[in-house]
Amino acid sequence: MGLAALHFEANEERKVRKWIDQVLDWFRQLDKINDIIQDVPPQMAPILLPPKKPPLKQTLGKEAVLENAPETEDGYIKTARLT
Amino acid sequence: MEILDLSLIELVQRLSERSIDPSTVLDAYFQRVKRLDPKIKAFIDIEYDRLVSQLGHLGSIGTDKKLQGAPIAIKDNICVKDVYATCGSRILRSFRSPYDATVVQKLRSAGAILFGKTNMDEFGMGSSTENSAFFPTRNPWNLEYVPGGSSGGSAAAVSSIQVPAALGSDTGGSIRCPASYCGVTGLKPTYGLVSRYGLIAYACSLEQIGPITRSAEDCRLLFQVILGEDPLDPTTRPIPEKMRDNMASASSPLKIALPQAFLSEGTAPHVQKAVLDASERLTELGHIVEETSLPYLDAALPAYYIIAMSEASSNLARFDGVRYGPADPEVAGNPNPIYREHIERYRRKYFGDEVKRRILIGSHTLSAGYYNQYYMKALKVRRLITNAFHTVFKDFDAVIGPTMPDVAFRLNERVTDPIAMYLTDIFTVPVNLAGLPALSIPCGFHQGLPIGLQIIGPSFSDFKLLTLAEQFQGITSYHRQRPPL
Repeated sequence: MGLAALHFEANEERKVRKWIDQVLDWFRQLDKINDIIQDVPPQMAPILLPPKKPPLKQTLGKEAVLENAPETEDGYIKTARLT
Repeated sequence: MEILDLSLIELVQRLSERSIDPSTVLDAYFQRVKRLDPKIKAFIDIEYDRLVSQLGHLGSIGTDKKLQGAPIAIKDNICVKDVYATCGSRILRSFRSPYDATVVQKLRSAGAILFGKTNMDEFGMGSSTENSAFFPTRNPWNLEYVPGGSSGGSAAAVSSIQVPAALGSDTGGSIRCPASYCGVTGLKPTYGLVSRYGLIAYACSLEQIGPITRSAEDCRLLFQVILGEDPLDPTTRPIPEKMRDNMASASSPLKIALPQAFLSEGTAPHVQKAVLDASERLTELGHIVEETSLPYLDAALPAYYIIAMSEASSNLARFDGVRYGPADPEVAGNPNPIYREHIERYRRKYFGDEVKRRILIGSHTLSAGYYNQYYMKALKVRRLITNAFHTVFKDFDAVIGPTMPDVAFRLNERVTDPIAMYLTDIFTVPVNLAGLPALSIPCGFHQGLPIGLQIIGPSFSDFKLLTLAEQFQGITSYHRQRPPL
C-alpha cells in the first residue's frame, strides 16, 4: 500500500479491503449534504492565525542525541542496513 | 483526614503549610498504586525511585508553588525528559524523550511530582484504551468494562485515587469520554490555550492537552498551571483580557442551551434522564436552560474521522524503523533490504490494526484523486459545525448535553466493529472541529457505572464553564462517589 507505507501479505487483502470499504462507505453519507456545503468555504483549523515563526532554539548536543539512540557506533547512530 | 481523601487543592494547601510531608504523600499514593494497579492497569511506566528523586528538587523551589509536591500523572503521549514516551505503541516502546513538553516544564515549575505515565489507545486512536499495544486498562467502577479512551489510563488512575490529578489529551473526546466513563472531571481547553510542544502528534488541528481531576475546582487549579502562549507552539494564543477576568470563580445567571439532537433516540434513556435532571439542578442554581437546535450533528462524525485520519497519515509517516523504532533486521527477511520495503514491513509489524486502518484510509482521503471527495468535503462540514455553534452562542452562554450516548461498554464488546466504536464519539467530536472548550462532569449512575454531563462554551469561556461545573458540584455529590475497590 504505497502512500500509506504499509505492507500487507496476500492473505490479508480481503481483511484490508473490508477495513477500507466499510469506513469509506460510512464517509459517503456526507454526499447527502452536497448541496448544502457546495458554496461553504473549507476550514482547515479551528482558528486562522497569522503565521508565526518559531524561535531559534538550542538543539540537543551530539552526546545527548547519541545517548538517546538505540544503537551507536563510532559516534554515529546505527540504523537498519538499507540499500 | 486520610491523605488519599484530600482534594488536589487541599493537598497542596497542606503541603504548602508543611502540615504533611511530600514523601508521605508519595508513599501513600504509591502504596495505592501497588495495591490497585495490577488489576486496573492505568500505568504504563511508574518507578518509585524516579518519584523519590524529584523530592530533592522541591526543597529548592520554595513553598508557595501552585502544585507544591502534588503528584500528577501524565498520559504517555506527553514527553517527560529521560522517561519513556511510548504513546501506547510498540514502535515507541524503547523511546525515551530527550526533552520535556512545555506542559511538563510548567508542572515542574509549579512544584508537581511527575507521577508515572498512563496507558492510552495507540497514538490516541480509540475510545476504550483497548487499542494500547501493551494491555487494556479497566474501568475502576467495574473491571469488566472499558474506562473509555484514549486517555483511559489517566481517567482510571484519578477515579481509583491512584493519583489526585492527571493530564490527558483530547483529539475527538479523549479526555471527556474516559472522564465520563470513570466518573471524574475532564476539561478539553479552547484550541490554542495549552501548548502542544512535546505532545506526540496525532491530529494537530484538533487536539489539546487538558486536566483530569476529581472535581471542577481541582481542574481549575491544574488548568491555570498548564495554560498559556508558548513560542514553541505557533498555534498557541495569548490569554485574552476578558478571559483573565474570569479566572477566579464568579457567578451570574447563564443562559444554557440543550440541543434536542443530544437527546435523540441514539442516546440511552438513562443518560437522557440524567442530563434532564442535571438541567433541573442548573435551573435551581438560577440559570436558564432552553431547548434549541444544533444542526449538522450527524455530519460532524464522518467529517471528524476524515480529518483526523488524514492528519494522522501525515503525522505518523515519521515512524519508520529508521528515525524512530529499534533496528529489527528480521523485518525485511533478506540481508539487503531496500529502504521502502523495510519501512512498509516494519510499520506492518509494529503498528496495531487501528493505527494501520487510520493511516491507510487517511492516505486515501488525502490522495490526489479523492481529496475533493473526502478531505475537502470534511473541511466544509467543519465550517458548517463551527458556524452552527457560533449561531447558538449568539443567544446562549453554554451548551449542555451528554458526554457519551451511554455508560461504559464491556471489554472486547466493540473491538471488531470500528464504526460502532466511532459512533460513541458523536457528542464529543463537534467540539474539536470547532476548537471549543468543553468539560465532562459526573451527573448520575446507571447499574453502577457513571454518566457524564458535557458542558460546551464559546472559545475562551473555559473558566466560565469551570465555574458552572463548580456550582453543579456544590449541590450534587456524584463527583464524590468512589468506585468499590
